[in-house]
Amino acid sequence: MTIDEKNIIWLDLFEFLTYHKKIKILDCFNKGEDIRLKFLSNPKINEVLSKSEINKMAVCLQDSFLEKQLENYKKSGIQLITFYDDKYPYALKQISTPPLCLYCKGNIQLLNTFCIGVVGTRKPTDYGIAITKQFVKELVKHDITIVSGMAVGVDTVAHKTTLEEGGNTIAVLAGGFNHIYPAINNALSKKIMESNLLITENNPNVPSLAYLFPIRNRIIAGLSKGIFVPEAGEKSGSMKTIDYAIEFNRDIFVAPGKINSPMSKGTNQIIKSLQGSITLCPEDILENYGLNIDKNQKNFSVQLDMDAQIVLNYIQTEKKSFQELADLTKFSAKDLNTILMELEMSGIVTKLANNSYIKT
Amino acid sequence: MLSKILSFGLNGITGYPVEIEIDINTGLPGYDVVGLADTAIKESKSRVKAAIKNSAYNYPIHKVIINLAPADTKKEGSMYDLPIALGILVCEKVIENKSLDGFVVLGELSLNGEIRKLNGIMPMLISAKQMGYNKFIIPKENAMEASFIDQVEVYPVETLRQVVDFLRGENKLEKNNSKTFESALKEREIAHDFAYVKGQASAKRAMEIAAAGGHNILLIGPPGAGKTMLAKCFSSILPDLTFEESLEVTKIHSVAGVLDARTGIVVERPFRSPHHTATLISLTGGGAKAKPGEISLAHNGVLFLDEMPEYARNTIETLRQPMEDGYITVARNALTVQYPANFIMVASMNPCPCGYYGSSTNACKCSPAAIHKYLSKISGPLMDRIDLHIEVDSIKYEELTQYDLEEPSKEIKKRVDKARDKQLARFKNSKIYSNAKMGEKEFKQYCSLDKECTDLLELAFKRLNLSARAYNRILKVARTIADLDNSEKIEKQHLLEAIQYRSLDQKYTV
Repeated sequence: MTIDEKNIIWLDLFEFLTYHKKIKILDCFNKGEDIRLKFLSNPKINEVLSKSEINKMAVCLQDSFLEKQLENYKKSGIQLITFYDDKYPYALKQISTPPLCLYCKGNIQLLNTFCIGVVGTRKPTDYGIAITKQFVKELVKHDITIVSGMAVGVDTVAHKTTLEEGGNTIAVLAGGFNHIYPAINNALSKKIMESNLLITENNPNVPSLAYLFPIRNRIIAGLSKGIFVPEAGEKSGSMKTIDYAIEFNRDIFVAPGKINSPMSKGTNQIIKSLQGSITLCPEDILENYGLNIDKNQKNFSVQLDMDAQIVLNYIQTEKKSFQELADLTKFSAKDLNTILMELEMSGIVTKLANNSYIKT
Repeated sequence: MLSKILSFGLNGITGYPVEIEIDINTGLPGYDVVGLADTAIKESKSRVKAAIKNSAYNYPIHKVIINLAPADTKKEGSMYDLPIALGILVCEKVIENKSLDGFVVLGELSLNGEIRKLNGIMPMLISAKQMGYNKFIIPKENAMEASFIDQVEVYPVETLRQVVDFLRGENKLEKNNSKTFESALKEREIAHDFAYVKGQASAKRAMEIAAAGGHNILLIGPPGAGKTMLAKCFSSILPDLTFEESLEVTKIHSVAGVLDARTGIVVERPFRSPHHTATLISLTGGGAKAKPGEISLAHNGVLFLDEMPEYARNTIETLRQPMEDGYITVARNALTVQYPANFIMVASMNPCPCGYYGSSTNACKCSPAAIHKYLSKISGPLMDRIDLHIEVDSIKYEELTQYDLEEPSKEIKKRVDKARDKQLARFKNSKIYSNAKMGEKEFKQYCSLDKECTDLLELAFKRLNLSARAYNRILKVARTIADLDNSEKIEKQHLLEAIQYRSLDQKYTV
């Protein structure tokens, strides 16, 4: 590990240092200079940091302190990739505010793969869930890595669908590894660590504070070649991600929604200002990158019997509740139960809350 | 002068003989009760005295000592008024002690000498009959309840005077007519019928399965979806009580004092719906007298927990053990009592705190964390004991206004009865009556799957993210569905339908 890398990791230990302060501190020193050795003797430091901040940092100058931290990271299976590392993702180097160090758990090879970000509202409608699943499934088939923020809603659906399909996914956290947010996704984070990748720019002890989330979104935008937004509200964090994506010159793919749906206000707004972003099917994204669309695959169909076909005809376009299906098809509850379960198991329909079904 | 009269006491739902000895001796006038009597018995002094005087007999102006034997058991209740009064009259030589030989006397006195209704007559009579006593004097109001016990002589009485006249041979008392259980069965009526529940095809089907296999069921849906109505109809499709089952239920209801005096026996499966503010003791049973709780009152019937997450957590968690064992042991300072508590649990809940998650009519206002918190109020182990989860959506206006009736409960019950008969035949030699109660051994024996079904189940687990605890539940429910279908083997379609009913095991929210 070089001196420069050590400098970054040491600076990362202090939670009160914002990204910009860290950059300013680094600017006070030459490349290859050990900050800790000259920390107290460099007069420029006083302009950047307050007295109390300097005092707090001054007690942590010893080598043993940093060594201990590094040891801890190693023990908890955290891999550190600093800006100076060869493994640092090329895509992130291009952005104006690249994270100084990435704390990673999992397969770091994924950082330099073809990534598409999938972000959206925390409260997706049935429509949002359905198209998130549909798009992610198609993207994963073409070995695209799905990057998202592990929030509830669209993010979780994106991660889970990727895992179910056996694809690759990167979850970018806002806080450190000891403060996984939301806690409900603890199990998901463990699954992602196993064979996929969990990253954050903060040391493990940083709590998931609100201001970190929009900052985190720049990493999602930075890592990805394009961002797909299935559903986003007017003031959604996803809109922030889109802003970053525009800033970093990334592609933007947005699914249109109903104009009166609050969860599509944001996405429709983007379409209004960026007309090229409208995306109607996964192929729109794939074609943009010249990926081959397997025409045969599109026509693949599971052998369905007559009854299943009848049921499927009714849920072709919009969701139907069990009762509606029973009334329409005149099937008994017993038969309908069996048919719907069979369709669900073959992945043709998805069961939604409240006993209703939609075609995936 | 000494008298001895036999009466009965209750420990839970089993009776024990109590001998009432009365001695009247010279001394200052007084009334002394010994033998661990409670306040109700000690207060009998005033009632007995007034009743004897108002029946135009003399009350002794001597020291009256009453001993309730066995002396080391606590006794409680007002059933000893009548035997004490008779004992005093024996000492006063109004009646002869011999005329009371072989009689068990029970009754509470009113000040004017009338005899009042008691709780717990049925269990006391049943225990007494088993111990070989077969002549009883009981309050007239309890006559119906006693009429279902055969091979005993029961004399229902209305006043103290009537009893005395009878014992002196001056008047004849009519013996209680015994009634058969079948006649009582015919007289009942169905209060809630599925014919009046519109739509809800999937929920009805799930309830049919629950009734057929004795499975616990959870209804999830927005407010106003009809969860409570569905639950109330549930007892109408359960198989009829057998006489033995009915006696067990009647015993508990008699002890708790909730028995309907007009019918005298419980003919319909009980439906208990304790409010969610219910305390732990009111559910499990207890209190100073170790009374049966709601879960015992629901024995052989239905325990309906409306808005399950609203119950206090520790209250609802106590249901776990009785749900597994079928009985509850209530231990109190003075006594330890075992009450049966073999019920089908029907629970209902909203999908989220505001109630409208996933609703087709209203928008949900809850944050995902709030929904998660709400759902996690019911612990995994408890969820583990609920075999079927079914989501109920509110009915649309058009459906409400249709006037044609749906399939009546009677028809559904016929199918349920058939499936139950199959199960009874299957578990003939064991103590199990329904698929839901299958143990490991029966489970292995009757729930085996062929290759196709095993593969299917494996796929289901992968696809739907089912938890391991769902496995046994799915197979048990599949067994019941196969029984409803009159199939010996669990087929693919049975298994597919059974998997439907595990919605809470899947990721419920995103």
